[in-house]
Amino acid sequence: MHIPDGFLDPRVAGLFWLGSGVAIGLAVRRARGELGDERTPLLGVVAAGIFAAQMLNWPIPGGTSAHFVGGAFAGILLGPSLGVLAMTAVVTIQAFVFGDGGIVALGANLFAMAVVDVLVGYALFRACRGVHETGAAAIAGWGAITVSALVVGLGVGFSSAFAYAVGTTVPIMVVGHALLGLVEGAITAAVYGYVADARPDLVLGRSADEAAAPEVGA
Amino acid sequence: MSGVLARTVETITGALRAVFAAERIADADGFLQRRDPRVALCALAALALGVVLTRTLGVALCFAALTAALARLSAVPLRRLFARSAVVPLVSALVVLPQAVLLPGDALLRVAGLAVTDAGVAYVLLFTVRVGVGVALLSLLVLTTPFSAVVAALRDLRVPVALVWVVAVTYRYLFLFFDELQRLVLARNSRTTGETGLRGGWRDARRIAGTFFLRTLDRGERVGRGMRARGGARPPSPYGRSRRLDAGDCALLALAGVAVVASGVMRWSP
Repeated sequence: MHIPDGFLDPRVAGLFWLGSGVAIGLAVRRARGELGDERTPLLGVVAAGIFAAQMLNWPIPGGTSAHFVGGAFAGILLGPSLGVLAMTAVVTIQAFVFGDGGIVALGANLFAMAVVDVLVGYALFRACRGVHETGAAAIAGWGAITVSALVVGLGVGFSSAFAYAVGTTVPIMVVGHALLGLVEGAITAAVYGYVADARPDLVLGRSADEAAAPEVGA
Repeated sequence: MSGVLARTVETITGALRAVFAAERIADADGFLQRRDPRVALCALAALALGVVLTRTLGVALCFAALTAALARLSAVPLRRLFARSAVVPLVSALVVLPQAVLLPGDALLRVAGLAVTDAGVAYVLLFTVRVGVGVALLSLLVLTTPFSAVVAALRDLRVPVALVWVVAVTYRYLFLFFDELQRLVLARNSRTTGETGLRGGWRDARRIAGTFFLRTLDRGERVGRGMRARGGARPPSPYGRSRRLDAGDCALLALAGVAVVASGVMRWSP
């Protein structure tokens, strides 16, 4: 999912920076309102956990493995603002510590993986949880990855730096990630189910303040 | 160790090895290592923008040469930089390779009845070099600037303090959680014999991931209680502040500025 530098022209990259800047700025403002300056950093502990969990190899048919992305799970566990902040930290560290993506393309990567992935996952979970909670987590994981891939496909397709047009990039990204997203949905549901069984108080909407860890969200 | 799940340990070890190797180079005495982190961040970002702006292979190759020169001056082995940066442009080249025959232009040669055009080959080369230089510039930043210095630079560049703290705390706890996850997987491996099937692998992964997240959240709560016990409202200690810019910093900024302006002028000039 990480877009490297060279795929996006300056105009598209700039629009992504603008979009992620506005969304992350709003998330920072809301997080400070919810948590206060002194407790916001605690969110980093949960973000570090999501990052580390991405290293876990989940077996998939064919003897190969898949990895957790975690944006939808962050949205479900932390809510939209805190989820966006947690995934912003994850994507930023992926870029500046592990060299994933690019410097100019960081805005696009933040928009796809820290904004769209979290917000779509959160919205789908909220919309579907009344029907079946674990199923809602699966749909959130699948839908969030697929919509993020759509955003990446649109960005790359509209970029003059990339020779393929939207008509090519969008179907390839969406179909590919709709299939890979099944694994993300299954992982999100599996982890959500385990956490919800063991600590129902931590799960969104099950306590009065819709918080994650009480110290983070109380 | 058995099963795909067991390979998690190798994944974590590989990630840690890359980080430690980068930190060793960042400790060396080189041109970029001596720069103020704000300057390194802004200058390399400007060079990345410059290479994104270019539509000429010659200009992209000039950026490649500049990147190699910066690596040389910064005691970054070119072989290591190439090894870190080669995979993404090679995959990107494969992605755009069909453009060699799809883009209209003068035919250079015919392969299986398809005409390889000059415009197509030029585009594939330009795209590959542009992606390669972009990846190399990010790798150069990773290899020469410790992340704690990048965090300090983000603060000085007026990124919201709350966001910088979240990033800093995430980084601070990341390696602790890598270790925690590694121990969970090793414990599972020590209890397991033989190959585990797909269903068993998922059951184990679910259990490990669930336990891991519960421990993560528990750790978050304990960190919060610890902060309150130490006085409550005090945020985590910030990383060191950046110093005054020296002549080398100004020279690098000027070089990056000239490069990005020149690339922009060449892009938009008729």
